[in-house]
Amino acid sequence: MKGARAITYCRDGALRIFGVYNSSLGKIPFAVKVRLEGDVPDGPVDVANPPEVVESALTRAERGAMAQINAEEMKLGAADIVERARAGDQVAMATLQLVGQESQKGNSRAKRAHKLLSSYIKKNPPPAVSFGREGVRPLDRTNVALNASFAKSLAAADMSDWAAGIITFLPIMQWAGIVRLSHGPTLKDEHHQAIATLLGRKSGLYDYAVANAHSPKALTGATSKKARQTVYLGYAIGTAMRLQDVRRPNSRISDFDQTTGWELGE
Amino acid sequence: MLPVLIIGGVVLATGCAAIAKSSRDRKRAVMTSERRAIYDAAMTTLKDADKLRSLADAFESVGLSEQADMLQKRADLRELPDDIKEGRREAFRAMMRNTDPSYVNRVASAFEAAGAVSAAANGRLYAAGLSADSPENVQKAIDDLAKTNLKAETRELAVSNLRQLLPKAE
Repeated sequence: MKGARAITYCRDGALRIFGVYNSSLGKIPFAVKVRLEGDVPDGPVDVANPPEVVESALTRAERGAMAQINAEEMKLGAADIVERARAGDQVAMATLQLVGQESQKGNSRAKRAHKLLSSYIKKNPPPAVSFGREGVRPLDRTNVALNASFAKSLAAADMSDWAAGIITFLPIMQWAGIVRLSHGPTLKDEHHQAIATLLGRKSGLYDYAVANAHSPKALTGATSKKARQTVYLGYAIGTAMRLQDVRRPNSRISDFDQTTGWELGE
Repeated sequence: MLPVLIIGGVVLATGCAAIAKSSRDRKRAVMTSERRAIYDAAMTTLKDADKLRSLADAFESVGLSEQADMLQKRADLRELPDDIKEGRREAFRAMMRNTDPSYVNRVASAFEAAGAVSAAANGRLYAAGLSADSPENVQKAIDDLAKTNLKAETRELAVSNLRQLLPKAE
């Protein structure tokens, strides 16, 4: 899918796509699950050369993903117009007025847009403004959506879904994602296994990066974009593990950071 | 280990002489770029208490009392009673467990005031990750990180990580 960063895999007789779409209004997370006809082994799917048995399911899944993206893009568009109008943008104000007029005339597209605009305004009433605090901006909606999707991924009970969420969102959430991941369940072999399964043959590079997360300089050799992404993923998971380790009672702080350990008398 | 020893030796050998070198600067208690480099290197790499004290005296002699005080505190870190050292280690672990960025930043400031600048920098970096949920907070976290004493490579990595969270320019 053009403009999207996604991971496609089979699990328990279903094809799943998990990803983030780069729209002009920001990043839009999406997740689709389509039942498969016949017996298909679990594992990642090469979307450039999909096995025959998943081809039709892949088409349906991509269509489903696009539908989710379009719906979300319209919501973001509505939010954008409302916020611009609140900020005094005359064009946005005129657009709102036009949508209202056309909706009353029965225009179906305008009625749909009106519903989305009303829903956004109801959920996000204008902030109470007091003198001296006019400059306070509302939370960025794209980040709110990403945070919510990432939190949902972290809580996924199924290991493959968890791994797919991590592979998709961690490179976007970056440092905030690493810190949040470190507050999730203790990262164990089963977590690495789930990620390694979805990464396929790149998992050796991932394991290396996990083991060398304390030394970012050792991780700068990857040349291709895919290798860099895999190395970053390993670094991120390794760093989250180091954060989890240092929190344990009687942990050796020098293992987390040598200089800090020295400062604290180790 | 060897580079640390070499850096430590170079810092001390050149540091004391360089700090006191200019009589004009001595009178004005100026934190020149040269003095700043020596101070930063000593605070992040020098681990010999005697050498840290010598540098503290040199900074004091040119009127830079604040820096001298920090170097002295850093020299004292390793000579604290065992129970205080253990208490500080537990405070560090508790800071890294906490999910309230303002609390983490307060503890980091306390570490900084005690001369434990690396512990403080790690706390600030962690707090930045906790609070980086909106563009305003990400920008604030980047600004805060620029003020910390993290190792350059760690700081650059953390700042570039945080920049990725900022929305793209139109």
